[in-house]
Amino acid sequence: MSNSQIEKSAFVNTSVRKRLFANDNIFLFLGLIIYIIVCSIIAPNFATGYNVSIVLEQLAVPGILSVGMCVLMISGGIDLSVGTLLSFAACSMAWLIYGGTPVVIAVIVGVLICVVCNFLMGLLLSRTSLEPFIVSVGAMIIYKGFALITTNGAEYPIPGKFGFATNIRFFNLPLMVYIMILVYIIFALLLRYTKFGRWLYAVGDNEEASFLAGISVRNFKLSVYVINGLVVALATILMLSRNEVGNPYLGTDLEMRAIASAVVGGTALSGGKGNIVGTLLGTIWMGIISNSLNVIGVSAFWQYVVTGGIIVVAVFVNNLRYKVA
Amino acid sequence: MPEKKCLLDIQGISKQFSGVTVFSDFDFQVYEGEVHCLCGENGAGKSTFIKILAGAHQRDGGEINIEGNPLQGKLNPALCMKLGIQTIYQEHTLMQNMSVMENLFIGKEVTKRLVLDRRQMYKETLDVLAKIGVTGLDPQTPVRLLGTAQQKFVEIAKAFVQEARVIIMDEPTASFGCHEIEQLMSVIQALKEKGVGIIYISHHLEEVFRIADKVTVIRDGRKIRTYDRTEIDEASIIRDMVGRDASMFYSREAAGIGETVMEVQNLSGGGVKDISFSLRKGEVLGFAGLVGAGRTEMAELLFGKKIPESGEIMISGEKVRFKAPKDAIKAGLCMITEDRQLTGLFTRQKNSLNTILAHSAKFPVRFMHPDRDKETCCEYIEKLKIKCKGPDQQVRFLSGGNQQKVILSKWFHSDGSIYIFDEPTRGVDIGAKEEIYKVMVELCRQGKSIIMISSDMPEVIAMSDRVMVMKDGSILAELSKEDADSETILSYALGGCKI
Repeated sequence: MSNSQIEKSAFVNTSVRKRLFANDNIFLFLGLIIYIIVCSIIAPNFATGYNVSIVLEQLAVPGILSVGMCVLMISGGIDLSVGTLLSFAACSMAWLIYGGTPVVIAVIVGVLICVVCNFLMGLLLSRTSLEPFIVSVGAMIIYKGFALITTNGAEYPIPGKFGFATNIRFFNLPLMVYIMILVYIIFALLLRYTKFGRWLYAVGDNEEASFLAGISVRNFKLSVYVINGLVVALATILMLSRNEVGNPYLGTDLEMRAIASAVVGGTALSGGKGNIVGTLLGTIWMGIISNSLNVIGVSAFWQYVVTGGIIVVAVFVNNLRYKVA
Repeated sequence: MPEKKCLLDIQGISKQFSGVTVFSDFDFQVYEGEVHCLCGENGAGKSTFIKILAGAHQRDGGEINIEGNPLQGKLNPALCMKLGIQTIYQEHTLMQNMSVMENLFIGKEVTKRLVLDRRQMYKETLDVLAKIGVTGLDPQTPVRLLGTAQQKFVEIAKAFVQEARVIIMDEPTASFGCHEIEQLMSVIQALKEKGVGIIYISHHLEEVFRIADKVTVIRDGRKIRTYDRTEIDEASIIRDMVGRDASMFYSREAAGIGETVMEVQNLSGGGVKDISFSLRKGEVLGFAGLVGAGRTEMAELLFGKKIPESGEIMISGEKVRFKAPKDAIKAGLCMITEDRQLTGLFTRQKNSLNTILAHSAKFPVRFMHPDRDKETCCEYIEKLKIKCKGPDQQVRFLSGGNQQKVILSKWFHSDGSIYIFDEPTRGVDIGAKEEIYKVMVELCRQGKSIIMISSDMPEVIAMSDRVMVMKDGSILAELSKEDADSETILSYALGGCKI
């Protein structure tokens, strides 16, 4: 009895240092700290309160989208349409608000658009063996068309009616930053402490084995897409509120940013691997890279080269760790 | 009658895998225009033999003479083809999106001034197909549109185009109907007349007897005997196939057998025809048969992976209908599948996730705690003596036997009462094998019931309380423990003939 107790505790509690270095995200975290310190030394106006609030405000929307993307990718899916879906839903909401519809109804419509679109895509992807990559590329183009149709190519400015996400501030940080942090906390708990979280990894790792272990794989995958729809809806609302204008290009490149953040954070395109803390670090990395390059004074053209290079290096390092683990 | 030329002469071939001898001192000859059949049980070494000849494995010792010339050095697949040895594997190896014609001429394309001469290839394809007696096949058809049998014929035609002198066929009729088998037989006849030597490997003895000029029986990597056409005798071939050392048997303690817990009546669907049996408490019911006899398909029907077309399943006297494995698990079933990596494990996940999964699907829990998962996992690591670094280790780093134990712990934790084991010890070393047997005996003692599908004859005989023998999707015989010996089982599995 006592013997078994000892063995058990040997498995559960290892030394703090060992546990710290066994953590998947430790290098990402240490690298980030070092990068921030270096940038602060090179550019004195990098670590100012003003700049920090700018960075956080800028990464809130892509950060929220990254959470949805991370969850989707762990389950073995991917969605390249989140950026244009955001544009489409934001344009629809702006059009409604511009025309005098009450804000609450416009928000409900926006949420419905995102959820229904993702529900349909989930239905298609969970009931057939189509590739999520291809289907979501198709959806991406369709939503882009819808966004242009809704606005007729024009913009719908809605100043002063929907600015809550940046106007409401606590400790000098806009509300949307707190909302993003809340989303991360909710999803981190969801993945760690619920059955949903366990099943997410199982389905992403091996669908057949999941089915044979008693999981209704098709409905589960559908639910993941619906959850992603809700995440996109939230991002849409914050994006529109921050910009206060409905524009068919609001969501341009956001899907790539979300995928890059998730991947830098250790999420695998093949499914079954990834975590929320890593995705948060990936999001911060992505936000800080472009901001720091701006502050240091690197030309905008070179920023693409550096950003892309850092993504590849991050994935490479992650892959090395994965093999050793 | 002129002396036939020896195309392939193999002398004293041996092969070891990580210190274990799977093949020793094996002789084999193939003459011009001769069909030489190779018979043996699952795991007797037939596929190793083919792989050595095809150049996929390297031989450790022995000589290979091709048309009288000794072969120096190592074989590789490209060299084998050049030497005129073509292997037709059980699985399809054709390019599915290319046409019949393009497949035939891969690497041997006919060109006219650097441009493919399609007209010439079309003509030659028709020619070759006619030569081996296949008609009504358009050379332009993409291969993916052809049936299994037709694809096999295309492969044979391809071997012919590549100027094969010796063609190895591994279970060519695995998914053939009667008519297609007839067609293959006539194709083989045509090849014989062209002077091609054929090594034919099949479980189906009736085919072997029809076409064989010689039959060699292989057991445990050794040649037992080579029969000439005139001395072929079914009973003695079967005896040669099964005869083995009695010390390999695992002796198990008997457990008390109780009332019927599961009753299956006239179950059909998915390649299984009209299956009925009952399973009692504390019993191991063995399902013997050849690979492809429909045993795994039956397990899939029982477990709700596939939905039966007709028939009934009763569990503890109540009629059940499973729409998905979820329902079967809730009714107390567990399935340990044949292919661990593909259908049993979450290889990149931790031990603990693998352990708790079936339980989480069975019971309506929403919230979990990682520490509780780990504790559960530790319990099973200890109970089943799983060799691993702990609950956080990914299962892909474990050995085959330990992976199998992780799967067992998944099902133990789900607290089922009926266990379906599909090939429980495939790819597991001897030590782990015995531990898995112990676990099975322990389950019986606890009053659980086991359906064990196994192609390992000693295992079936040692572990089962009753043995069902299946062939072509039906149950051919039910044998009690006393009647179940290798020869009886094998004679039913091979074709229902009595010795």
